[in-house]
Amino acid sequence: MRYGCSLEMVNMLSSGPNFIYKQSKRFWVDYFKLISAAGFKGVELPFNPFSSDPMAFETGRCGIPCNAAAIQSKYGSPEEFIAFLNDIGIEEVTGVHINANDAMLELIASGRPKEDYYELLRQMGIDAIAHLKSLKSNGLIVSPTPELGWVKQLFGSELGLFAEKTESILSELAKEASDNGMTVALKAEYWSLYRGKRMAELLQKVNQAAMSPDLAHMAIAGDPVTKVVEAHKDQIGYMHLSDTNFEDNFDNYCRVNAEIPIKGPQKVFCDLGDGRVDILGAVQVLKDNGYDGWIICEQKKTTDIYKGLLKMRWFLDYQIERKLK
Amino acid sequence: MGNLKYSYQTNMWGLKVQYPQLNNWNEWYDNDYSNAAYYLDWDQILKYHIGAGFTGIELMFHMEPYIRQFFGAAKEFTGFAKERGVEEVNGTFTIAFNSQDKSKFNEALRPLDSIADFTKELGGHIINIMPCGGYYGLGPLSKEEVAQAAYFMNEFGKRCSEKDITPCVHSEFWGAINKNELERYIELLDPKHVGFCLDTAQVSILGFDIVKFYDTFHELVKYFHLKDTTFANAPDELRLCAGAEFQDSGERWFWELGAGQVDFIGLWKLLKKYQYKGFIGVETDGTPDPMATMLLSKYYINHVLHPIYE
Repeated sequence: MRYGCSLEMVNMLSSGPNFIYKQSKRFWVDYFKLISAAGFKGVELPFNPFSSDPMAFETGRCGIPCNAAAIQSKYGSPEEFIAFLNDIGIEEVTGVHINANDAMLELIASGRPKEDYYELLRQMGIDAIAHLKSLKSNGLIVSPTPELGWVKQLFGSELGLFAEKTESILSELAKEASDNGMTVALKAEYWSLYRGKRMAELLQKVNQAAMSPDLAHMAIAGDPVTKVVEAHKDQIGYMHLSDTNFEDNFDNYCRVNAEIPIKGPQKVFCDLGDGRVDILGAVQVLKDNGYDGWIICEQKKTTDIYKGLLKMRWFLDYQIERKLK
Repeated sequence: MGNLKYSYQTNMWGLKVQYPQLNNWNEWYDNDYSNAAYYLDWDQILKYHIGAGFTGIELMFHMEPYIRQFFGAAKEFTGFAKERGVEEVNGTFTIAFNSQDKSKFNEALRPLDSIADFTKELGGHIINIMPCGGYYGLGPLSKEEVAQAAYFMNEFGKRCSEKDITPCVHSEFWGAINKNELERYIELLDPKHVGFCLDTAQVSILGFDIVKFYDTFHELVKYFHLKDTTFANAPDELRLCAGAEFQDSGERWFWELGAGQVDFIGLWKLLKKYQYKGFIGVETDGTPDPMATMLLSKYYINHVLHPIYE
């Protein structure tokens, strides 16, 4: 087992001071060095190829390595980007993450008919596979649906058809990835159509895909985290360690902006070890099963991305590795 | 009461102010013990503006969907802001993508009509608008494309005037309407329906003396974005490259008023000469600490500029 770090722990849509610096290449060059200093040899990148959605436009044209254009224009080329990572001690890009919610936001921003959503999702997946190829990486992590709030608004009267088409696209992407020596790993958020038990159904239908459990999301959805990981232990790829104390008592899971609650408690995620998720139990399942792939770590929406890195390394060393049987 | 009222573009607080209002500040402070909780919601951020003496605010185009999703309607956001002391959400900012392309005229107008409706619903009267897309990938524009971009803006201006809104052209140092195109573009604008937002840093970076610029175009200048820069007259290779707004080195383009090379004193003398009245905007974009930047800028206005004209 090897531990990688997801770049999504830097919340680019935050309202913290100095957000614009985080859009510069300098920030990412320095942050990659700190990721390496914190002992992570692999990084998972976000991937968003869109630009109609204003947030995607703002984040996709700067130093954030979140699409092929940014890698090309700010880091020279995929080869130069990888050489830079290797030079500072990061051995590989473990994979890239695509989120179907980005395809939905693109659809809405561009004013295209709702049927175009499916093609946007498919094309994002195909582009991501090409991106992975250029980065000599092989993990395509997929959040399979937009927020349920959006899905119900646009496809509420045809949820069965929506699921059918989604599963067909994911199967196509899983095959395409497999043909290229890559793996699609499905990661269901607590606001996904495939939250909870529906994830098992999805994995049956998209049988070439792995499951990427995101522990905090599973806990919020009410999953018994360790039991679910145990039940799917032979299908796991790129498990995501994350933590939470959040109880979704106001049904945020079916709202747009599910991760920004209005009523009741509002802090959805916390740093690893600060929450109620049995992270050790989940990792133990993988160890017992002889898992030898990447485990991706993330302090989701941490308020201090520097302290968060160090806390994450301490947690892995002293609360996971030292306690694993 | 003076002649000038102050507004602030809220883009310096981030791409998205994450929450409308925190329900329990300690939920964020406990186990964290940092200042992060001061920057998470509109409720607090709006109060900072009022505390510093800014009674107007402006919104970015990328905030529109979020405002609608969280507040239901734009006017509800304005109500929320007014409850906290904001006098007016006086303007918005957007970009006239594809304005240079005759074949995309209607397509390019669609998002702008939407931002005009949004601005009207907020109660604002100004849309600060980048006249075309970015230079990288688009420039240099031909004479015909510059003329088409101006025609597009004039047409949009006519549509806005029905809503009591003035689109004010906001040139950016990284835009396709750049140093070599700006004056030619301005000559083609219809001052009856279109104004100019003089962004003091952006225009300085392009290489213009902003005092002379205002003296020449004061009738067209209907609004300002005040900010400072240490990169006046920046070379092409810095302005025209991919993602030029975000310097690879991490250096700042923009600074608090008085911290750079912009001649605000010269500008203020002209504001007095031409008797500019009403809202005047400050826009400092992202800085290491928006709260400090806002207070330093207002200090400079109060203590250096107000003795000249207020």
